[in-house]
Amino acid sequence: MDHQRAQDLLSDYLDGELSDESISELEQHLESCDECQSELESLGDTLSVLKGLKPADPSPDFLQQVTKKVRRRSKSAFDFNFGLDRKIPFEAVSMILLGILLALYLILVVLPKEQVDPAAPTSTRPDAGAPMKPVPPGSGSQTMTP
Amino acid sequence: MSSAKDPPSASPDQDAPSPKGEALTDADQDAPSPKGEALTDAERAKLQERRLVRRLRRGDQRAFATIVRTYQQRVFNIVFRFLGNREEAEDVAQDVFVTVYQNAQNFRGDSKFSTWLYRVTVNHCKNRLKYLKRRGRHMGRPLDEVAEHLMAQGSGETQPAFHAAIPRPDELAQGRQLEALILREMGKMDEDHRLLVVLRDIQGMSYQEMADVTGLNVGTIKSRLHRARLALKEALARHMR
Repeated sequence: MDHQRAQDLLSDYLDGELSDESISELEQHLESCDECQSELESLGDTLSVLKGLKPADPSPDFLQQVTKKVRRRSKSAFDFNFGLDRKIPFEAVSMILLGILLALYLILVVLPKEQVDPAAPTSTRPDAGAPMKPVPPGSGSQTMTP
Repeated sequence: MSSAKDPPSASPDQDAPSPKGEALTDADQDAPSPKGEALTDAERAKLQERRLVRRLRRGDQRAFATIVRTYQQRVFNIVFRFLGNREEAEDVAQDVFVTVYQNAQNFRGDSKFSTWLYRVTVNHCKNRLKYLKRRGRHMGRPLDEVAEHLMAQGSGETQPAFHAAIPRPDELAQGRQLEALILREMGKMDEDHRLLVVLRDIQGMSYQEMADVTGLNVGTIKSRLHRARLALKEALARHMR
C-alpha cells in the first residue's frame, strides 16, 4: 500500500470501517512508516478527546419549557413567517395591520377635510359654486300670479 | 384521550422520570413475540419506539413527555456542540420538540423515529446558524469565548457544560485545556464539517444513520469527516509544540 493511500485510510481504520484485507495491508505499511504511525496516534488522541466529552445536560425544567412553548404556539396557530427564521406572532401582525389601516384612514379621510379653510363660508347645496342655469320660460319654478 | 391539538401536560407528579431517565410507561412495555421467543434489546426498543410514536400521533401528552425525556439530552448535546452557546442551544432544542409535537402526523414511519428527530434537529441548527449570521452573531464566536474561558481557567470551578473525563486534578486541567482547544478549533470549522464531527465523534452515530440524517452519501461523509479530523489534529499539534 502506498503512503498517500495509507493516510487516507487512517480514519476508516480507527472507525473499524475497513475490510480485513485493507486492515492487513495498512498494518503492514504502518510497520514500515513512522510518519503514518505518528499520524495514526495523534488522530487517535484527537478522537479520544472528542469521544471523552461528557454529554451536556439541558436545564432541569426543559420539559416544562417545551410544554409552555407548545401551549403558546397552539394559541397562535396563525403566526406569520414571511420567510424569516422566526415566526412573527399573529397578535403582532394584527396590531401592525390595524396601525396601517388607521394611518390610511387619517391620511385619506380626516386630513383632506381639515385642509378646507374653516373660516370660508360653505354651502351644503350639492351644486354650490356651479354657474347658475337660466330658467326656461314657462317652467314650474316660475311664480304664479293670481 | 386528549386530542392532537391539546398541548401536552408536564405536571411533575404525572410525568416523573424513571431513575435512569428513560421514562417508558407500562403501556410501552413489550408484549411477548408472536412466536413466544424472547425479544432482543434492539427489537424491544424498536417496538417501544413504535408504540410511543403511535401514541404521539394520536396526541397523547404522556407519550410526548416520555419522548422529550428520552431524547432531550441527545438533542441538546447535538445543538450545543454545533452552536457552542448554551442559551441558543436550549432554545433551539426546545423548538425541535415543539416541531416534533406539531408535525407528528407527518412522520410516516419510513425511517426510525430517532432519525427523523435528528433530521429535524439538524435543520433547526442550520436555520438558527443562518439567523445568527444574519444578525452578526457568528457561530465561531460563542465557541471561541467558551474555549478561551476554559483555556484561561485551566483548573478551578468545573464548567457545567464542558467536562473532561480525566480524574486527577493536574490531568483535569490538562484535559480541560485540550478540550477547550478542540472546541475552539471546531468553532473555526466549516459548519458541514463541524456537524459531521458532532454526529460521529461526539454523538457516536453510525455512518448509515448520519447519511439518513444529513442526506449525504456515506462516501462523502467519510471523506469530509476525515478532512475535519485532520484539521483538528493539526490544530492540536500546533498548540502542543
